Amino acid sequence: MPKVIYVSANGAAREVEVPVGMTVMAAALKSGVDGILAECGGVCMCSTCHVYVDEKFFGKLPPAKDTEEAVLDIAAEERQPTSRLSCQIKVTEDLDGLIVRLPEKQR
Amino acid sequence: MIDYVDKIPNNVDLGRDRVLQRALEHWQPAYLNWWYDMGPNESHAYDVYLRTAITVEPDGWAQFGYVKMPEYRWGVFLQPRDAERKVNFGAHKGQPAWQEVPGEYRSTLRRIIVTQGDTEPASVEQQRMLGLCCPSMYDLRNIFQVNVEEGRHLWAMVYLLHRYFGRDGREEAEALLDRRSGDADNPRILGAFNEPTPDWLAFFMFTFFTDRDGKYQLCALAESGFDPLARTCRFMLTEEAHHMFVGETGVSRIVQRTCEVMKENKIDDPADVRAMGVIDLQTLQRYLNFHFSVTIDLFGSDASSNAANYFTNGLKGRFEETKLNDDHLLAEADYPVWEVSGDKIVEKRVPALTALNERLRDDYIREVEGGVGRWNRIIEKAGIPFRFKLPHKGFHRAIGNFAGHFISPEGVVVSEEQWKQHAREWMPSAADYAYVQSLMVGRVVEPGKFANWIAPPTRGINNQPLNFEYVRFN
Repeated sequence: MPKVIYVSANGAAREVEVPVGMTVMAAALKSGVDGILAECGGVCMCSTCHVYVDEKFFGKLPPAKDTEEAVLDIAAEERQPTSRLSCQIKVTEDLDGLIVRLPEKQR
Repeated sequence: MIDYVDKIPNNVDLGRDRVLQRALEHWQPAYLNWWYDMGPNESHAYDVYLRTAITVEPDGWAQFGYVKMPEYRWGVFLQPRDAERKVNFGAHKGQPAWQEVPGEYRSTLRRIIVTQGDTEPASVEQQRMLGLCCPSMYDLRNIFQVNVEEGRHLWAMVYLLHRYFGRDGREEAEALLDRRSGDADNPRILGAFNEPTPDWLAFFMFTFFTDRDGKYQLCALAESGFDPLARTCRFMLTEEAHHMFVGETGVSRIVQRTCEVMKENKIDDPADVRAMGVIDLQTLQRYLNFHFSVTIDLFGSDASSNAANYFTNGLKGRFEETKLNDDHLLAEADYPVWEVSGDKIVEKRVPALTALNERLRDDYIREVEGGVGRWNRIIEKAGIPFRFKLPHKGFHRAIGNFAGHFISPEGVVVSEEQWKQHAREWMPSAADYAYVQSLMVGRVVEPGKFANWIAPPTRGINNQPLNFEYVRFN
């Protein structure tokens, strides 16, 4: 099963095994990873599951759609070039070892 | 007879609940009459590109398509039940969450649900004329989306009243359709929901500030030991997120446009800015002051025995109750509130149980500060030396310790005379409202076009282009 590594704003890393097809957000909620809130329930409406994707993996992700781009604009921590909403990242075998860094705040 | 499965998407097995069916057969036509009377003006024949919730799953619930609003499928959804869920705070902490209303809390719970439910149709009523002066087809679609979802939230509360409160609940559900925002004889329950929403700036401020109050109230109720209420509110929160998005980005786009005009024309005097047909930053600040202060009143008195009882009885928790690291009883804890003493504002420690309104208000203010900071980033990037500031929480308050006092935006106690001298700087004046209203002449509905006073959004809805035909007027 692919692993996703969540790195909190203070640098603490947490490795989680995630079934293929599950989103990075859903896996975080299921595993009790702090720092991902997902207030809209994962439908790309709120930006409280904002993550910074490690550059090594960013290019492997399908590009963000317009709705995700729009919602990223209201993220609590200013978006960066590798910003994504974790509700829009579905885990694949190819993403094994994916590193996502969590912003200091989500709201 | 209503075809429940087809017309009312739900996950509460509505098709098999005969009692609920009979109640809704009576209420649903009354609701539609209310929508025709008090829903968005002259909109009933429009085909609007709306999302409809048809399941609670992230992949399924946001279904987009053209809908005539009176035919919108207002559904009844609760978050899936967690059979292991407990009451997580108060005197009943550790007991299994209640699936039926505890008899001793029946009237209190009904009042909580009615108060929440009353805000939903109220905001539709407040906003019903704004379609006539919309700044774009994109914005028109968004206000309609907000309106139908507030309507669905009313359905959600009415479901609880019908399902769990018998005859009393049915009567309360009917009364929700009888009250009217701003009506002198039969007003909505809470003050802010009787204020007019006269223009689109007020609408965006309302959805940023006041819908966010709704979020915090829903979050507190989503912690309730009464499980159906908790699960209902949890799902409502998913929709509330979009409303706040509309508010925050709406104000952002106005700020963006104003900054563009100021930069292009090298102007900063508000009169010069207005002469260019955009909204000056000072007027935006005054609108902010008004909407923030009216909204934080909604949290209630700083010290409240009602709030303490709601918590102790397991009916309404704190924001993110289960993530808080304390005993969830609060019997020994205290919390700071502020009060006016002479010409000073002083801190006073009170039992945390009685200060739960204040605590929720403080949680809310922290989040609002983030949004205001994002508006300021737009101004900063434009190189304009102006920043929005949230007024002191004692400013322009009608409820709680600050009511009856005159507090400046900076948090200085002033006399009534000083307040009157500065009111024009601090609060929107009749002239401000008239100016903003003057921008709202007619509606801009050519796909892809936007009124002069607001910048286009960066992207469309549901990955559609900005010039998409979001509303067909037929």
